[in-house]
Amino acid sequence: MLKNYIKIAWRNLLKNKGYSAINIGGLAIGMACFLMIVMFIRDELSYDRYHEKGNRIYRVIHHYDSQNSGVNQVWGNAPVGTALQSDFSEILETVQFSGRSDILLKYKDKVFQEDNCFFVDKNVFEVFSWSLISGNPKTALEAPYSIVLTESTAKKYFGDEDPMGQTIDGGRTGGRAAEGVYTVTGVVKDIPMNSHFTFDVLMSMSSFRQTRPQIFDSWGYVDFYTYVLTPENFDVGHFQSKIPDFLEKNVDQEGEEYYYNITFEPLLEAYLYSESGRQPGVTGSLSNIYIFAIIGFFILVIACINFTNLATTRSLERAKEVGIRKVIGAEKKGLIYQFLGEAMVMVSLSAIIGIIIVMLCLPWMQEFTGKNFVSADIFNGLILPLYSITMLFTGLLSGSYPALILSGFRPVSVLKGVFRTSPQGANLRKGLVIFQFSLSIALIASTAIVYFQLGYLLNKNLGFDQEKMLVLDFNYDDQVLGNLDVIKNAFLTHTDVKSISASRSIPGGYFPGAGTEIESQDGSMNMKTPALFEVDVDFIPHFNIEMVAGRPYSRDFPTDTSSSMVINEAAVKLFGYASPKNIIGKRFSQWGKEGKVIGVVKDFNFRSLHQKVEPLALRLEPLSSRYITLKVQSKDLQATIDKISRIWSSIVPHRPFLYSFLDQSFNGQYEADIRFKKLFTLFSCLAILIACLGLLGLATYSAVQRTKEIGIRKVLGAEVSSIIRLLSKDFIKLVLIAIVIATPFSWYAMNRWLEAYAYQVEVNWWVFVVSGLIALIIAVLTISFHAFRAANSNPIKSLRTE
Amino acid sequence: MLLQLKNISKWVQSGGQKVFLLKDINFWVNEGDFISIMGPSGSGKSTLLNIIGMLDNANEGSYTFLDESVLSLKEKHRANLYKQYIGFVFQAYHLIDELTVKENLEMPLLYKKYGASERKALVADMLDRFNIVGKKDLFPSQLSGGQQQLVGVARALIASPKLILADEPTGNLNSKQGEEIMDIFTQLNKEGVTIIQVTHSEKNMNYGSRVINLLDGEIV
Repeated sequence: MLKNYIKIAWRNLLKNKGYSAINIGGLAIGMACFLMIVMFIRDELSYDRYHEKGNRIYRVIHHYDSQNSGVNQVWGNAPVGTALQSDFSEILETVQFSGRSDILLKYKDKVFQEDNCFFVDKNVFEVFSWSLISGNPKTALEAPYSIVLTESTAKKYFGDEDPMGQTIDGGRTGGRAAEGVYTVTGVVKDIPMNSHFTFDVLMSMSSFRQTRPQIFDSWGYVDFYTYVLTPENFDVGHFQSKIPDFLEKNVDQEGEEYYYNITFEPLLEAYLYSESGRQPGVTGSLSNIYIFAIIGFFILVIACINFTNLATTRSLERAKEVGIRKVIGAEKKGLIYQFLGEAMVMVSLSAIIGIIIVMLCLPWMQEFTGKNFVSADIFNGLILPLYSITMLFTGLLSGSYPALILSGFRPVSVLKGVFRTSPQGANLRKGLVIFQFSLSIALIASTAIVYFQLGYLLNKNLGFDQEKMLVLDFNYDDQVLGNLDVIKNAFLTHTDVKSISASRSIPGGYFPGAGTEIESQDGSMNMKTPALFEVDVDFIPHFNIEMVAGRPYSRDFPTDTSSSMVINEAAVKLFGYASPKNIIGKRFSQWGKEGKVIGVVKDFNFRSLHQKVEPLALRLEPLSSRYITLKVQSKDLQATIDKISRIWSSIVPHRPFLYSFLDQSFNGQYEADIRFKKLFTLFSCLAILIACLGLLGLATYSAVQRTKEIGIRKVLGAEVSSIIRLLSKDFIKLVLIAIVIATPFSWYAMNRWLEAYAYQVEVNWWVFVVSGLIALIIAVLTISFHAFRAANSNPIKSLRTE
Repeated sequence: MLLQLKNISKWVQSGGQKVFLLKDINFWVNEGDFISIMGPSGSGKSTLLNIIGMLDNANEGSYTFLDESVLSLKEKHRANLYKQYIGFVFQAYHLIDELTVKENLEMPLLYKKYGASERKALVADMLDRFNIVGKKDLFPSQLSGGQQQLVGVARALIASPKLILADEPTGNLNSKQGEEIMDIFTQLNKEGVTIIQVTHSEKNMNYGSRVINLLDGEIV
């Protein structure tokens, strides 16, 4: 019997190739999307889970709370680590990372600036499961000036040589990393992509201790990530209750601007759940996971609905078979099994094709998600079982309705060729179409909004010049700083260089915070911690930043170097002034400098548009610089860069020429957003495609059902256009209803999504109208295809029965 | 007695009025009968045949088949009854297009849960008997109408029913093919199978032993 069923199913499949292709193909695409999304989500959830002691590792979150504001960040001071370790027996190990640091490493003729390195405690390999290929994990990072490289970094310097015991010259020309000759004491496997932060180079904390011993006892110096290892059954809530006493004992908070507190965050939540600032690596987004999970589910639902609709459509052609089977002795139950089984066969085929699609798309998927997937991941862990369950469920869900309809046919009527399709059935199909199209329209509208927002992010006027800005990174090199004016003038002799400025921070990059006192209106000094850009005298005009009050730094005022300060509008508010004018001339004190506020710049977006512009102080301190930015203007950019590179090498021969463009590096902050846009667009398009396949099927159904009516109308003189109108009218009504349903739904969802950005595009009503129109056009095109065929067919054929 | 119909009526509601398809039908069939039901289009012949074949229900009256009261039986029980005792032959053959001749013949046996070897034997038997061994792997669309109807009859017979219900079995065939089918029916009847056929044709009627004439749903 089973053989008989399968035979029939298979022959039907082959007989109606077009229909089978649409049905299986649509579902296969849906299943493939679902699988990809599951793989993506699984990867997101897998972060840091490879650490054997992962569930026992916590990291310290540092809170700095004042009366009306507060920040919490992962980056904090050093002594908290030692204090925790010595005060609590529950803290088994403490590992601190200092950085992220940068160092110029030199081995023979190979010189690279390593930006992705940390100083770290020697017990790091006992807590984290990063496995050493060579070297002793217990002692590798014990001695000062020991260095552990990742496999690929080691290869970069040593090629096929054995790196162990080799020496590398490090940090000779300044920068914050300890200067000295480092000995390679270990090679670690490349850090897995699913880590909340990665590194290329680890250096022993003892080296850092030698150059900066004082910061290891300073509760106010922020440069460390602190991780602790706890015993099994560690109760973090209970432990937290001991912290107030701990802080009382160890930290003198008297007279501080902020109240300092610490909490503990599980390592396994670091990637997805952490809301703290100053992360050591890129964090994931839980809401994106939800969004993709929902889209994946929707795509599957749309594909299921399609399947159901198409199968129901086809039931007309199977009616005779059902009648015969019933007359010959089939029971209703048997028929239900048969048709469910057929659905299962189709779904299984789709599922297999889905897997093949995913396998073929893997390289491409990598580009979309930025993740490394291999085909083995499909068969990894729970993915395949989950996929199979989904497949079964899809088969049951989408096969049961057609099975019930088919098995319910009465043999007497179907064998006579009389069909009476129930109005409930028609309503259900209409409902499904409305649902499908609501989803599609919501997805189109959402995609449009995602596009608008991203366009806005990339094109908004940020308040400073970001185009044609060539950024040279010299990492605080003291030989560069010592000759800063010489270098600047050398570049300025080049005609393509319009202006030049050196600074410690550039927009979109790292900046510190600085405890700053400014005189308040009643004359007392008010302490706050604004962000700090250390700049040179040309920074403000060079970046074309507007002044709203006072004046920028100037060479005409020699005192500027020692006793002047420029802040932004947000800082004016922070210090309690309503108008920028009023703060001009007020006294300030910051990091050992005292003097007067001389100017206020208009707020410019020195961070990504995810965040509001924060209070900022621009401090004149050219000798703290890390970057030189050049505004270039030329027809042949590459030639200009080559020339600048040559000038650089002639003045600073020991340092590689590292350059980037400001707009590119600034927009690099939106990498995750752009990836989101790509994925979102891809999945929306697929959803719409699948929905269209379904509509095509339904249009076929309705055309078949009304063949006779169309025939009669044509015989009576109806024109092709009027018949197309007749057939399209019903569906267009459904799409219109779908627009009404989709609009509020996606309006709400997209507004929630936009909340993640401090600066948002406005969601316009016409987005939804246009999305609806697009859906409508797609629908009309799909339907007309069939309506046209039906309308053009010879009426005699359709009217002749038997 | 194989079956008996008493006061069978069937109607549909149309515009608030009962329109009778069958009205107060009384007749019985003995085993071994060959009965022809005659009448013009719309006189209720097919409806009557469907009721006898238990594919349709009467609104009124009683129907006894082998001492079972059909109308009071549960759907499942009734299905078992006709599965076991009744075979159908249709004017339009109603073979399953996606199955070969052999597979079409096998299908009733599958539903009656015959074993594989038994099915094979019975199918081979039928193919032999109707001289269609050479056609066993062809699909219905590859056969002529007469051959298709042969398969239809073979399929109706394969599970050895007591009663064959034939709804205009020769309606779609030319006269030579029709004669062949009718000859087969005669032969079967001689072997003890009860046959009830619906027909338009006087010629076919004469093959039968008894005639029931219907007009507007009533026996005349």
